[in-house]
Amino acid sequence: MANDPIHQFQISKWIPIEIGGLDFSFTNSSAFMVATVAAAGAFLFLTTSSRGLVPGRLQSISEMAYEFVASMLRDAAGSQGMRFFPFVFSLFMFVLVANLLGLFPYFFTVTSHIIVTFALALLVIGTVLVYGFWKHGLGFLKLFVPEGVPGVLIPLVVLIEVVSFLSRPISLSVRLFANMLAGHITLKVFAGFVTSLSALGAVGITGAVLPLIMTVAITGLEFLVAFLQAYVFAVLTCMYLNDALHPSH
Amino acid sequence: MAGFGNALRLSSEFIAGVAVGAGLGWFIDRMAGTSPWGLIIFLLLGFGAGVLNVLRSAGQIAEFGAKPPAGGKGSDRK
Amino acid sequence: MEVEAAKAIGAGIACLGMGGAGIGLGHIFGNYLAGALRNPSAADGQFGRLIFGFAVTEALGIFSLLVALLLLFT
Repeated sequence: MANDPIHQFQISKWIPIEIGGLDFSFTNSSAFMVATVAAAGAFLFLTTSSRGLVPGRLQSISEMAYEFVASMLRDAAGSQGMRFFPFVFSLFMFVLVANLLGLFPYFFTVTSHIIVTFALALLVIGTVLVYGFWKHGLGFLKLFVPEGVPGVLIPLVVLIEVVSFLSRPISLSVRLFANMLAGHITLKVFAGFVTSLSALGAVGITGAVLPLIMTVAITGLEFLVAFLQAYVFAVLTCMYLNDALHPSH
Repeated sequence: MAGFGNALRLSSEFIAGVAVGAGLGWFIDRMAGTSPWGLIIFLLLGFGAGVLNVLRSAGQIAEFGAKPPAGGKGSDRK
Repeated sequence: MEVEAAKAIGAGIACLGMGGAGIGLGHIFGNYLAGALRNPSAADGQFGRLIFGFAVTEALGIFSLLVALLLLFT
């Protein structure tokens, strides 16, 4: 069916590659990931290559993105957190550009697949764990023991804190994935109304104006959501990195 | 619209806590053969973690690393 | 009746309990909002009690989820 709202999320193999029974095919998802990285990299490189002391329009977009992420990281994790700046900035730009690219008609949205967002979230949590244990040793475990808890309750509280810590990658990835998936399905459903209504003749075409307005409005909203979700992802990353830097309460 | 995003964020925090608790309990049961106690205990722990997550992201108690980013003593944890 | 089928049906029925928790949560948040709109200055101070009520109500919903999961996975 042409109006199937799920069809846009289908993975198709472009170049089938199989190594040792495992599927390494180059799919449309991988193609759009490459496109995302290329677009973000090319934009940042080309706009800042002139190095104008007084930035032009495009250069100031790049500088704004830089300053935005830098101040976010400085607020959440202190000046020590700036060593993670390349990591957070790449994550932010990747998620943002992937979300924005997905808004083009007929383009594939990379972040609407939970495995992609979950891999990104695991990367964040893995960085927090590895860096925390490398920097603080077993002192990192103090993260799970809040201050001022009566001694009897400590085992319970520690278990709850551990489960809460483990739930972070899930909530981080599900939030981004669910927002993108729901937005794109809504967009597709309303766009489908337009086509199926306008097939009904003159009355249908006048009626189709309403879902058309709705589609335009949702597209605007989706731009906001794309930016907001990238921002939330980066902010939470900063907060979790702050735990790795300062585990003691 | 910010309200909608906020609500989605809070509920995803809560559900993630419960889901991870249940998954962990189920996994422990399967590994250690303590069925059904692991699932029961960890689901309830996950519920606690979910409420904790919600409180944290609603800003009612301090974040893990506490608000002052310098890593100082972070105070108002209940 | 097959035991597996009975288990699946029982899990489905157990999930009805979560509907009750949903109704309760609606009452709690609705009444909080009504109270907060009448007296906005007192609203922030009662947020802790709102979360307390939310936790107690949702705990009962979690129990029914627990029964459903136990029926399905043990």
